[in-house]
Amino acid sequence: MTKNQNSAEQKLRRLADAMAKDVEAMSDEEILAEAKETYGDVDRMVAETRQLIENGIAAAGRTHLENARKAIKQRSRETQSNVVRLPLDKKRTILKHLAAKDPALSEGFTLAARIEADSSADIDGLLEDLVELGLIDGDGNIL
Amino acid sequence: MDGKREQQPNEFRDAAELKEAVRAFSRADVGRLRKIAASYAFGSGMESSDLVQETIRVCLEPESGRHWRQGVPLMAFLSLTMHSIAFNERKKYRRLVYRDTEIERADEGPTTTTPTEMQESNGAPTTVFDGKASSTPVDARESEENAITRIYLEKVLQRLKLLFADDPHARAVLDGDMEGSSADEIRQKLGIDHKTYASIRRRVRRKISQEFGKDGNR
Repeated sequence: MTKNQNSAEQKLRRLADAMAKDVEAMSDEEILAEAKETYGDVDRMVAETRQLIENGIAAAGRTHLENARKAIKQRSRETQSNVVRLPLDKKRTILKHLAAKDPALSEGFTLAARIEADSSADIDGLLEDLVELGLIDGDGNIL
Repeated sequence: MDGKREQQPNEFRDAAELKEAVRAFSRADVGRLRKIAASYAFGSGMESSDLVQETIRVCLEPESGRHWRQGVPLMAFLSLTMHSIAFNERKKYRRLVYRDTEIERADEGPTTTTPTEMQESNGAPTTVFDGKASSTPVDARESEENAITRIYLEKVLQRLKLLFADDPHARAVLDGDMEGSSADEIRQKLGIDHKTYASIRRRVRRKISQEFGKDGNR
């Protein structure tokens, strides 16, 4: 950044600060009188600005929701990604051990049959479901 | 002391308190908020309406790192946030102007106009291009962006000087503000009392508002 540019930017920044400080210190009567002069219809300006405030509140709510969704997605990816990256034979071993440990579960989900016949994608889906159910952890350890 | 200060419980007000407080603003407070926004929008390329909305959004976002501290007047907190957004926005505006320049360059091919010639011809900043290839594109781009911004900001300053060319007292107050002088320093320099000073400041504010529009960015 050149000295001149910095200087022009600094000057405008100081001027804006001084003007804003002036406005902060003005009495309510002065504010409303100047608002009438600048905007004409003060009621309309007030209504419009209140709407801008509401828009800002709504936008913050949307951002908050979006960030929460991203965080859940990220957490879910972090906990489930390891198990689906294991070799296929290791995944089958995990499922077989789980079936042996809990025959009721094996019956309920026809696990034994699926272990041998299902595609890799199906097995990944099943492993992710088991992580979500809390039966195995993200690394495939039986809990 | 390790340089870090521990956050005390209830040191900051929460989002619900902030929402409640801005919704409870009186008509004068709403007017004050809008006028502060116009002061900061001034010369930034951003409208005061956008600045109001963006300020509220940013202040309510926990991730923004902006927190309304107990005991700080709400208007001062919002004003400080506006200051920051407006000056970051200036940088964004600089990038947008540069992008326009790039599009224009792709359409028209290289020219030999230099930023200095551009400034002398008093043309729009979007046509600046020195036409030289650079072995360090990032440096060249930054240098072009800086040149464009300098021209834009200098033009705003030029408009201000012209605006008060026939009003030496107002011009002195304006210069004092831009140099960061205090009110007392300006008053002493001009040899005027508080009342006269306040009247001149009002004149400066009103004239700038007329020149740059109610949204502050005309």
